[in-house]
Amino acid sequence: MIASAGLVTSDDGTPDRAFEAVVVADVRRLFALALSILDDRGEAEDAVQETLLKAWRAWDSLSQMDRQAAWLTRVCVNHCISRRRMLRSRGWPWPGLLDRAGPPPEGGHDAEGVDMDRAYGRLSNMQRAAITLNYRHGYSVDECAALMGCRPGTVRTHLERGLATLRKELKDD
Amino acid sequence: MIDIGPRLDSELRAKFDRVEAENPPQRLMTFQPTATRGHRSLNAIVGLAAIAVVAAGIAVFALELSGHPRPAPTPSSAQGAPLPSMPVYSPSPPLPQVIAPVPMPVYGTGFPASWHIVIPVTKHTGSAVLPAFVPAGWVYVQYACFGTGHLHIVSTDGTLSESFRSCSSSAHPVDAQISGAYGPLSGSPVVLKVVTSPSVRWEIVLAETATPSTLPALPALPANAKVLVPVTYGLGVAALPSFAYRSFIHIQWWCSGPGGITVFVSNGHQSMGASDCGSDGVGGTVNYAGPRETLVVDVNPDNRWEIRVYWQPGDPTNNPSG
Repeated sequence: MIASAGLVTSDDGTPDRAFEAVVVADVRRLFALALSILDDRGEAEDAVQETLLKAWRAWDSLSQMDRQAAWLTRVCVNHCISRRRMLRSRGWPWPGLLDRAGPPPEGGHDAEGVDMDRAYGRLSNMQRAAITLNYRHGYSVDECAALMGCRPGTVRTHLERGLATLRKELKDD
Repeated sequence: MIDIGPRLDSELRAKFDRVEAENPPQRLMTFQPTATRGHRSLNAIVGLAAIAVVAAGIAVFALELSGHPRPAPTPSSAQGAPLPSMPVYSPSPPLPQVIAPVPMPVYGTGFPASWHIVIPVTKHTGSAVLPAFVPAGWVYVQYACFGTGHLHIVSTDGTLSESFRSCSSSAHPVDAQISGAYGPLSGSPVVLKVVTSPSVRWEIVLAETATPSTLPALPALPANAKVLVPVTYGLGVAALPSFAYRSFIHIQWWCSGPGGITVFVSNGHQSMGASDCGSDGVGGTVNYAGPRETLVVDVNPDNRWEIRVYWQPGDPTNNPSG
């Protein structure tokens, strides 16, 4: 059976192969985005999992879209923001955890990397999302606002305050 | 994109490079929406089941409510109708029967058939005076009590005063010798009074025997033995009759019950004892030399004992001091 946009669906109608071709192939990018905002592998995995699940449920409409990657990005960012809000409302992470030096990732960290991780951990969820989307992924402020579900002025504020926090923590005057 | 400065730019770039270098978990790379969906479906099923349970509970509660008679509308006093009757409460349930039925056993065996019941089983709550009787031997009491307090048995003439251990909620028969520590009661009528808290329920039965057969016979006396204290039976602490002798004495003893037994002379020196009488009892004969006038048996209140004291003319010192 030939589906729209040349995607192939399975015999029972579930969009397995088409879904895999579009959504699952984008997992690495989504996971990096989620990890940049959440700064926690487990939470990032859950956020991406929720994004994939939502995409699968909405696949009928998502498969018709032109900018499926943008849709996935927005859903993933929203999950990350709402997830961090939920965790913070439950007192997580507790303050002492932010000051603890966790085990270094594969390959280890240099001193600057450790300082950067600690400084990055002091940013808010919105500040991280704004910096990640604008600085790393190159989205404009207006595009960041659309992805984050807020006004462009709010994105600017988060950007400025987030970077100011990083400079202060890193003593980069 | 905003300008953030060279150093922060460098460090932030390195930070994101590290983040993007991390591989996603394999679970995401092999995402199986059906499996996840099934998990969600299971949650939904569990949720629906919980809702069904709650709904069933509400339905049962509604049925229970509908089963109760609805109160009639309260008539107004202006109409002169009778007031609704007050609810009738059922009497409080009887107290559990915790006291053993008649006859109460003596250590599980009951009074020996040869014993004479002087006070039949009497049940009461609080203090009471028992019927008078004329004792003709060793008088024993069996009792059980329930409540906060303890039983205290006194004779109206003041010659007898025995306190028993505290009652409990798991009352069981206890027997005790109340005929005095060193001899049978006989002759004069005895009126006993049970003194206890007003709320204590109790039952009691008294019997007497010419020879306390529940205790084992002490070893036979040597042929030339001179008895200073005849066989004396007791329960708990007691003082033996005084005697005067300045020599070597022999104390035959036997005890039964929790804890040990110790016999002191009147000057406080310990003369003999056993660390644990035990439920099966233990006994022996000990010797003691030195001045003495009185022996005091120090024993657990629940211990039963018997003692006999004698001397022999062939002892190292055998000059009675009179």
